[in-house]
Amino acid sequence: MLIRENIPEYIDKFLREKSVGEIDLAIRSDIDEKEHFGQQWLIVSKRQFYVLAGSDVQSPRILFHFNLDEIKEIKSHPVVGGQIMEIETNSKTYVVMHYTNAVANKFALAIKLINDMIRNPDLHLETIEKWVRTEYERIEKSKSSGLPLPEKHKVARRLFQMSRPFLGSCTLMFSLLLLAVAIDLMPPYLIRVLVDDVLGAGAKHRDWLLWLVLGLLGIQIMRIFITVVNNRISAVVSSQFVFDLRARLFDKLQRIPVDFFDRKQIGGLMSRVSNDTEVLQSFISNISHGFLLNIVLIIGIGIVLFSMNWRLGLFVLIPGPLIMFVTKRYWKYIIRFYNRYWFSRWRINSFLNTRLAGTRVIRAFSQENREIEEFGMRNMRLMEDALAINRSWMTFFPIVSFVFGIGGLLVWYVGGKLVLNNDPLYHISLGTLIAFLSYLGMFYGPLSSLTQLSNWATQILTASHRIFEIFDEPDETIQVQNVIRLPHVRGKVEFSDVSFGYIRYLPVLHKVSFTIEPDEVVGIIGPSGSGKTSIVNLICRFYDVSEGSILIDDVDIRDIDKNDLRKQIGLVLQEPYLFRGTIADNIAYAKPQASKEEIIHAAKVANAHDFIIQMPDGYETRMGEGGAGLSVGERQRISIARAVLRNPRILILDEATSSVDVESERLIQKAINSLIRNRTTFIIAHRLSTLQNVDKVIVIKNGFLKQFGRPQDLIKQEGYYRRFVKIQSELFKLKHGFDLETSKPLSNI
Amino acid sequence: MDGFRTNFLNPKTATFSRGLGGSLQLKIGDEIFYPKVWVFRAFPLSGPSGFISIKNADAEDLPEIGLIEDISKFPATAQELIAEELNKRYFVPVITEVLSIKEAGDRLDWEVVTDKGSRLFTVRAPYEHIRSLKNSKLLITDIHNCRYEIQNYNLLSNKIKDILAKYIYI
Repeated sequence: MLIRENIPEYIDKFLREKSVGEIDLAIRSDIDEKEHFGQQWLIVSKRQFYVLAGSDVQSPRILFHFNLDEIKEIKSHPVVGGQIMEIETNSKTYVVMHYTNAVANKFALAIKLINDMIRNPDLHLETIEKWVRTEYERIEKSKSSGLPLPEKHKVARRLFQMSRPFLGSCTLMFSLLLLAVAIDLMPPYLIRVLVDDVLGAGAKHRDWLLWLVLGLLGIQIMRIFITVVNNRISAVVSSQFVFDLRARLFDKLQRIPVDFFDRKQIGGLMSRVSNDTEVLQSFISNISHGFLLNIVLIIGIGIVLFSMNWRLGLFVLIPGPLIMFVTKRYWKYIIRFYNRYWFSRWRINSFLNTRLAGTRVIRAFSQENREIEEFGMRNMRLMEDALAINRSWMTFFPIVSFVFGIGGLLVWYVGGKLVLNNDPLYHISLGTLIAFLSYLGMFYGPLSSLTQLSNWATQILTASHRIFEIFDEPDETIQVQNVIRLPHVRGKVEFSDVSFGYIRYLPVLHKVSFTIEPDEVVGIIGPSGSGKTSIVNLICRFYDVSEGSILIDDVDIRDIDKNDLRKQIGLVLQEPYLFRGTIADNIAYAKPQASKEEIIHAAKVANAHDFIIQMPDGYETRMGEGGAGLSVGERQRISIARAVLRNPRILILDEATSSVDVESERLIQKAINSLIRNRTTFIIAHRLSTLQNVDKVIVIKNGFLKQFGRPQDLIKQEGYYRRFVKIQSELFKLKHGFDLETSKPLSNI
Repeated sequence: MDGFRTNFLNPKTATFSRGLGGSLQLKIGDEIFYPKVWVFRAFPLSGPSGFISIKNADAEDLPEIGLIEDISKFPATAQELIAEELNKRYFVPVITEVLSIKEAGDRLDWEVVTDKGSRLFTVRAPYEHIRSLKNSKLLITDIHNCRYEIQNYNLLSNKIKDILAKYIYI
């Protein structure tokens, strides 16, 4: 038994009735024969292949039944959201099953297994059982839909763990905060004394006036001092926290596998590194001022109010729930408008972005008016959305202050009554009432802002969760335990039955095999999307093969120390990526300690020296993003110089498809020719001229190796290579009015 | 430019049938026969029944045999066969009821009833994977790249609308 998913009782019974026998393979699809979500079973038993309709509990039935010996091959092809499985027999092709991508990985594994069984009837299933089991478990585990939702308290705990280095500063901030609240509570108390004992009728201490006012001044000075100190500490802590986080995040991003960047959009990642970390910055700064302050204030004022007069305190609380309720409802209502507004803003920004970049296209096709109109529409929506928000805020504020006012009026009335009441049990002084009212003013504000606490917490948790998600990604392919050091690669590269897919069930390379001897130059040609770049990605070990193996100097690439490997591989990309900085920085990117002489030598080899030297700032010319300001050909030569300086044993060159002028092409060609000397070189070629000096050619099409050999042999065969050469020479003739083969000018063009 | 002229299949001469193995077959006139063809929509979202490309599935590069301009011009049997094929290729269940949506980070866990049965699925980065189309229609792509459709956003419950409003612009 290789894989046996949980077979329900009724299917099990049915299989026994049909005496299907011991089952080797049983897996379930998620679409039934009527094209509904449901189940169909693929079952292999005693070299028999069955497809079972299983959605109907009453009557499971066999839809297809083959003897493995009649099957030539099982295939699958992608459709929208899923795959369709086909069985090829000698006479016919049968469409047997349809399933969604959610189960495609395990079906890919099953198809591979069955095909192996077909090809090799003597295959001992026991020998592969363990491998299949682990493969299957890995697939099941990687089903991200089954992942549990992140638990909020876990995220919060992690967040606090991360703030641990700042525990000292945070404690200090919290103590200062308590002190600040205590100070905030003092002025109304002093005002009470001022009214009752200094200003009131029959007051005994008229001479206290100056001292009390000075006391109030002193309190304010202290308060300001504490605020400044506290804010400064919080600014330092929050910036440091985010600095640390961002550094750790970037560090992590450098270590996770390259395919992570294929799966995620770079834009989204940028926002994680910049925005989400900023949200967390607000987390820290909110500890000192903001929610924590508000909570402490509410508690503090509440205690003071009740201890001054609990009856009056109860009246204060009446508008409280009302305010909280109104604010909460209002937020729920307004957040929709905010979302719309953010969307509108984002849309107008992206519109501007693309239209400004595409100005030439707009002018050339004279579509200015349409674009102006389109922009006008978006601008209008933005204005409307902004207006909706403003309008509703402008209504909300007066209402809220009205509710506050009611609370005040209530206290005036009830408190006034108490002041007038002569019963010593109920009587309060005028000073107490006034102090009460000023506490009240400090009480409602924090109360209404507290209603947003949950919004704020959600935002923080979301941002942290997104950041932790990156931290939780596994690092780049884990190195095997006994890595083989290979400090000096000779340069033999061997592909042996290599199959590979970026998504496992969509292979882009099928059983590709070839051997390249050290110092050979290999041209890789084939239509776009055929798998050329995938070969390169595998040699650099950005990815690991799904099946088969790649050997470098007869050692499996997975066993080689990754640093040793990459140190000896040079890569010149199709779209040469140049970083911001000077030309010299870019050439010396992989060898920052290179001397000026070395840099110039590399540039000379790459045929770049002459144009660099003519620039006003020479090698110290600063380049914009991605090398703006230089032509494609110049950028290409700089990136070649970068590879020259690295002096790799294995060189990979992805030739630019974009056409450059004839002279640049010649210069690049010259640069390439001097670069490929004495090293194993792979060139993804688009032009015949590039193939002039290759020892071998690999032709790849739809992921299959179509032709492999010396060019002089391949030219004699009917096939892609010969067509490529023919088309290219005809293009050459058209372009230059010159026949490459006969070296005669074509007079009649 | 003649080589680039769009070749529309003639309802009178192009005959579709189902092969014994289940593949769609196409016969043009009496001479030309394709034992296995695949169908593709040129405008799957805005015009699902027009401009359907018929490709020869037996050839490596899947060359186009011709386009169907309007499927309703074809006889009923052909319409039925092609609809079956399209259903398989564009397996996009229409959500009839959203039972729940759970939000966590930038991920939404859905529990829905569709015209093809109930289903649980997960959408990541909802901003990018919920696309609002014309007439308040929504197209949702889950983490497995499976698609789902909501015919009319306005008919959803307020609770669900409140959640989705954060991610779409209607």
